[in-house]
Amino acid sequence: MRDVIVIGSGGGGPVVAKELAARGLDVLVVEAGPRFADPENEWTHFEDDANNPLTGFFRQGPGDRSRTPWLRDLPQNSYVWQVAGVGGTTLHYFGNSPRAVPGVFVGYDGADRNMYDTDHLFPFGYDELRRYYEWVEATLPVQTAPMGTKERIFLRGAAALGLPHQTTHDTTVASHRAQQNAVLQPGGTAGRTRDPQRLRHPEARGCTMCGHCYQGCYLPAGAPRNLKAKRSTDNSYVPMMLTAEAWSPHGRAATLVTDATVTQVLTEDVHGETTARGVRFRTLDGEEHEERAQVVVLAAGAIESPRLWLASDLPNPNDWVGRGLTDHHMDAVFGVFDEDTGQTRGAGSNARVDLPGYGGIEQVGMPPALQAYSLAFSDSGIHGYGRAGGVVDDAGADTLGRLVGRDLLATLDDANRTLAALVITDDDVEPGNRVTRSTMLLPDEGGLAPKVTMRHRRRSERTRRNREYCTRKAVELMRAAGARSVHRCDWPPLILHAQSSMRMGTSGNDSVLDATGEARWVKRLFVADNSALANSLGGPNPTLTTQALATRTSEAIFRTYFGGDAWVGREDPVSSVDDRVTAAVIAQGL
Amino acid sequence: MGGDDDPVWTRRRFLAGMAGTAAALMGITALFSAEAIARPAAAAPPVRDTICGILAFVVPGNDPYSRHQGVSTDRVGGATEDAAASLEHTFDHASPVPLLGRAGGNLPGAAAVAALVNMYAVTVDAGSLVGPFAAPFANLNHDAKARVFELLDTEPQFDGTMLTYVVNAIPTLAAFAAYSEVSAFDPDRRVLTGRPFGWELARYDGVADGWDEFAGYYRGVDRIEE
Repeated sequence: MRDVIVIGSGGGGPVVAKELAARGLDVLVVEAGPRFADPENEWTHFEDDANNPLTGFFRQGPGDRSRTPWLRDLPQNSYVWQVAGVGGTTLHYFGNSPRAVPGVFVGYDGADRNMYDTDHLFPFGYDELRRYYEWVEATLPVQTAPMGTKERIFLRGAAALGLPHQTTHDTTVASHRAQQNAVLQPGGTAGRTRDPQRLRHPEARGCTMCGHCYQGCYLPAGAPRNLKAKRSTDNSYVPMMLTAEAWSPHGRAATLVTDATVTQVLTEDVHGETTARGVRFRTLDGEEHEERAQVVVLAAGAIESPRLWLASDLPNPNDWVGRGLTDHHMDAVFGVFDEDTGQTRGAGSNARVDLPGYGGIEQVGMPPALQAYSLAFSDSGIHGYGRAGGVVDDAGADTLGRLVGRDLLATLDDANRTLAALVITDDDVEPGNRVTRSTMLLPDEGGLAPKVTMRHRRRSERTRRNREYCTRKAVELMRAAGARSVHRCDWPPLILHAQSSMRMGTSGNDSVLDATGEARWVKRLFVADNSALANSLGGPNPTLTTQALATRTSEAIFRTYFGGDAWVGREDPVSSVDDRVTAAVIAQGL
Repeated sequence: MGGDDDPVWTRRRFLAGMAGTAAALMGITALFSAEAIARPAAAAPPVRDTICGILAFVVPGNDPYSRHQGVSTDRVGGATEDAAASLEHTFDHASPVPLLGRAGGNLPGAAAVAALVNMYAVTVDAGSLVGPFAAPFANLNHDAKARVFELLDTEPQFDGTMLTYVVNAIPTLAAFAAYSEVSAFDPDRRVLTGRPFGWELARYDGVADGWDEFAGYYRGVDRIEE
């Protein structure tokens, strides 16, 4: 019997695995997708090759790209953009690592305390999570992002709006700043040359400003896996969990099994309580396996975790499993400029505006196909031809809706003269936005496919207000930065930040997890991915908070079921770029 | 435009479109085609012509589809053989199960997409059954193509079904394909075979291992404290 089985190796699972492997526990990680062991040779920077949502190497599907992806039943205009595999959706994330705003935690008594989703607060105070933030920020590590051309223009616009420059981790007022990113700062020749011969490690260190965060980070070329610039978990926590014996005095390397789909969480009755006892999973050869463990951690993501819960017929007495899905109700605003914006160069997002109580705005850089995708994705119909039942106005932009034809050609006449702003809304937990199982799609390896319902045109009044406020600010920012024209996309749900579908909460009436991350109705079963978040954090990107929460959950597991002591705040964290990790990664060929 | 109160968009017209589309699905319009890149088999929907018609609609160029729709340029646009093949492959993966039921021929993937947009193309203009291309959609002018998508976007029969997702994905994935590398890419060797046309349209410098883009830290702040 294992000590702990972790289901999923995305943003959260490897955090639990690394922390508990460092304590010497026997940890098994089961991942449905592939492991990219040699990304310098397995990946390219080409957008369709990487990011085609159905056929790219970064998709929700098996590693064999000739096979059908794992589809989701989407009964509305929308798309859930996640990645299966070791690293999960952090494979294509931008590494943005802001902390949640304090107003989404219980006990907050600021003057703006009523501005947040006060019905669905975290069941502990912000100060409680602070030390876990610090631990994760040191481990990844999180660093202040550098400036490039697009950041200079974006922040020029933000400053012109009169927003102050934030130079602290905690966000308390509307402000602008360089991102705190899980991306190593440029060093050596990185960011100083475009000559590929001079961009190899160790002459180049950290971010080479290649412009390909969304296509996966395998640079600088020649760097050991844990020294690649972006701290997606495949480059940070996974190497650490696999080498725990090398850098932790009592560490024991975790075991990773990939291309293996968990089909059931196994339980048994212990003294009248449903108790997790292991998992059943199926490998590529079709063979069924069972592994037993003292603790099971569900970390398959905000769509797959509730799906697996439901597929396992686990208790759901308040019917909140899968409910309360938040997604930051995103939108995108594009500016077209007469100057070079550097839109296709540099990290994906190095600058942001925070608007506590409403959400925020991020500068996002993309190569041309993703820009085209963004400009053609809308809930407001084709610009100039109709509204498709859209429910918003242009928020002050010159154009609204899906750009096609001459409009698209003109906007993308130069991919380096656009600037994109991502609107990330502080959206409400709503029970009608949820994950269930589909009877429309054919079952896949995991059984009945997930059905993701987002009632996007009927979001709560506060959510709609917040989105319009942030979008209008983004339009103003573009104009203040000097845009010649501004376009509002009005995205339908583009679910890049899937959160809170297995939420922890203060009340057993509308949450699945208690304040430690343990399931209310299944002992020894914990959840440690974005689905565990109590709410949408007030708008900040979810990964850092999920990782801080997963660290806290790891301590709860260790204390409760293995008789151990907490370590965060008592020990010094080991960074994932520590020389001991690097040496072990090289020695083990990771 | 295109709502239920639009005189052009009535149930009767929809049913007429369905009938016309049934003919289209049987490949009858192939008899009239003069410029189709790929002639469909008699019993198959005209997938390639439809996909090219969509690509030309989203990213016009100097191809026959763009010229026929009345919105064209003097450069290669989205409607290339390789982009069309790639987009069909994507649609086949996006909807591997039949989407439209018996009335739509129980077709999956790109064939279902073709059937869907052609069904509404005939609804918008029954005359689209006759034209230079096998696909009614490709025979429409640009404005009429836009109306097809407005009808698809507002079709109440699609509410609460995956068709709403599919409808939205059609122009979105077409835009993605047109500006990606697929127009000049060897998918087996995963290398470029030339400069992708979409890159030319967007003046994209191309992929790189890095740029001399570093401009210091905002206001000199390279780290923050608690």
